[in-house]
Amino acid sequence: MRINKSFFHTGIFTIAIIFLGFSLFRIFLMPKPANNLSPNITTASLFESVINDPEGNPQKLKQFQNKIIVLNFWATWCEPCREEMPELSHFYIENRSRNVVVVGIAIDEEKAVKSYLENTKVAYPLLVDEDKGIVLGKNLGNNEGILPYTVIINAQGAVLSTIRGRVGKDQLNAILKPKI
Amino acid sequence: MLSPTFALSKKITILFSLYLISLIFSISHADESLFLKNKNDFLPPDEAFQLTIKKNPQFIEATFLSAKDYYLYRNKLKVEFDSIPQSQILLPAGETKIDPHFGKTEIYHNTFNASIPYDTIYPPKEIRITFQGCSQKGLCYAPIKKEFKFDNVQMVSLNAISTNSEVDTMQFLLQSQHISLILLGFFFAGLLLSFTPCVLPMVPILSSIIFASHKRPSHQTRIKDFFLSLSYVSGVTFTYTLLGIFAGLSGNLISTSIQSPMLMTIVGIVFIFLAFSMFDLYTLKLPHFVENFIATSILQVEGGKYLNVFIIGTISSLLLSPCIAPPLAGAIIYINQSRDFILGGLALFTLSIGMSVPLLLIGIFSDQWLPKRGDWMIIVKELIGFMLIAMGIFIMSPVFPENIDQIVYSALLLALSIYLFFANSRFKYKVMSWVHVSAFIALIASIWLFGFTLQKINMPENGTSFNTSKLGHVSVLPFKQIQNLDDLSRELNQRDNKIVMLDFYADWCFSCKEYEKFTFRNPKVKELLADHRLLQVDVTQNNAEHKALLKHFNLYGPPAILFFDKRQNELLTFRIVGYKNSKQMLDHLKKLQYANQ
Repeated sequence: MRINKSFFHTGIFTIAIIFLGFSLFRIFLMPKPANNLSPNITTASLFESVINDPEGNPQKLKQFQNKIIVLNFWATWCEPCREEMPELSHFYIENRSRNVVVVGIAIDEEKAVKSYLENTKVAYPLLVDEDKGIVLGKNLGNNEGILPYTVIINAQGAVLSTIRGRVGKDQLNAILKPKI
Repeated sequence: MLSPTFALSKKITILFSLYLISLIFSISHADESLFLKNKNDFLPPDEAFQLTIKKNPQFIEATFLSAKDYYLYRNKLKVEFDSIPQSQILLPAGETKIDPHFGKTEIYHNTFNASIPYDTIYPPKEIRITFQGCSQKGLCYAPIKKEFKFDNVQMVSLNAISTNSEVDTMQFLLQSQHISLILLGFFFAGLLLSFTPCVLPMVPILSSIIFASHKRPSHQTRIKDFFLSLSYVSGVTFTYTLLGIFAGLSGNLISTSIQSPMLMTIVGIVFIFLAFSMFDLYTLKLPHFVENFIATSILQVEGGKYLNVFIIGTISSLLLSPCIAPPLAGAIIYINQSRDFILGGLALFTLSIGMSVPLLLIGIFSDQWLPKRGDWMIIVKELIGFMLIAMGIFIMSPVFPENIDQIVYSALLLALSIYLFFANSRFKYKVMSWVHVSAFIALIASIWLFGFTLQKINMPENGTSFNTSKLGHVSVLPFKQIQNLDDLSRELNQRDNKIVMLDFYADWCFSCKEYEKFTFRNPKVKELLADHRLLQVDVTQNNAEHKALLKHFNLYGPPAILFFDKRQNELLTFRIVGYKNSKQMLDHLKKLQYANQ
């Protein structure tokens, strides 16, 4: 029996590859965890920004330069954000004297933040701007718009770490203890 | 000394094993979240929340789909037409979530629809939808904005409504998340088939042909044996896969509605008929001359060479033995119904891989690893018969009256148990052998299922008794029964300024029963329907008048609910084909009310 071998080879290969491709396609269609750290984030644009505080007074972010900054993006409607705020307040109070500042940027409406602050005490400075906040977050590596999102910046203005999701005092201490 | 064919088989091995591994992976993806559950693990916003929008002549319909454990806020959903915020957004009620700061907030899990009415004379150019949501794992997303050009938004087609809601046993099985399960099923079916009396005893004979052992040179290695059998297996697989693909493709040509009770009954009966062959009531096999022709042509091919063995594989799989033909026919009918050639090819591919396991075992370990042949192979064969019957019943189940299918299953289990008891003595197994034990298990399962069903039947449903007597079906809603088109036009001519709802019902229609059981029972639905004139046509008998009525509205069959406005015109955009639960029904009725004020 003489049959063109190469024809067979291609045939079998094509079929096998189609099956394989289909199976792989099914696997990779599944959601996959995103990469954790986006490298090379610059803080230049951060210190150029001017954002209102909840009272409506514009605040230059330059005032925080040369400090260790824990920049926390949050919103009043975001439950995990609110849950971590008391711990951030504690952390701020404990480390205020050591050239550390916590800044909260609310991706929210001014009104909502104001009424939220009526019932809740937050020790550290807060700024509010939904649109600017989103852009700022993006510039600092939060492409997905995750909240809460925390960026830790050292006194030289370099990003030490970014944290998606809830952050704890211990976690902050672990990152910052050697630097303070 | 690697010949090109040898290298080829090696590659095929790698590909096949990769395929199997990937299959296992896709099966386990259901639990993937378990071992990937990292604290900082999250989905990108576009995967967490999917938004599709469509338009109909009055509304923009936005459908949101949240991933598992993700939810959206009801009051944060904003829609802008050309930068003008829209206040009229029709939203279903959400789940209530107690928020420590805001009190009660409404959220949506899974999926929901928002409808935004637009000015039909000056439709908007740009639509912007903003929404906010969180994950239960402790994450939120900054407001997500999506923009659409009005002209690019697709019209809702009536067919689209029907496809997403049709309840059908076959379709249920063919939904994508079941694919891995189906393939696993086919693999085990193949494995089971390989242990039937017409396959297992043939394996050593076949292997001697493949390995050409009568002139095997002494230096021939195990590895070569393995690759030879693999080459044979790829031949078999090749034919089966082609068969599966053809079966799937040919199904595309038959465009009958699967919901039709006739078709379901016929397919079910064919399955049971095929099962009889497994009990040797008749033999299903190829005509003798075809069999002879194939057998002689195989013998002409010299074994021991990869390509030849591959050819033997492709041809010999056409030589259907009586044990394989009936289940294979069943599988082909099943694939044919699915009209999916990729699934078809995959299914039969997996089946043939399952069937080839013993041969591959021989290739690797030679004879000693195969299970000993014996009477148990006959039991396996007849078990496959029982499975075919069960599948036949499953396919027919929507045709049966309520709960009857479960009683039939329990009867089948009882039959299986009796069969196994007798098989135990027929083949002179010891008392309490595995056959005996399985007979007991089947008996217990049968009794349990029967009792369970009886309990279900006896349980009064919400106090009101459900009347499905022979006289005709009585609905929970005050429907006026009509029979034909004349009745309908007479009813429509009564000008009382009410919207008319026409419901197509049949006893054999799964979704119709669900409507009766759940949707129509909902007090809110009842309340909204109170100022409609309710008509129903019971098409159980499917006589000429019923057919004419269905054809008039271009319907395949129930379930279908049609609405007519005060000028007797059908409101095509509000036609419902398929099932809607009470929540969806409420939304639908509210929209209908809004559009026809």
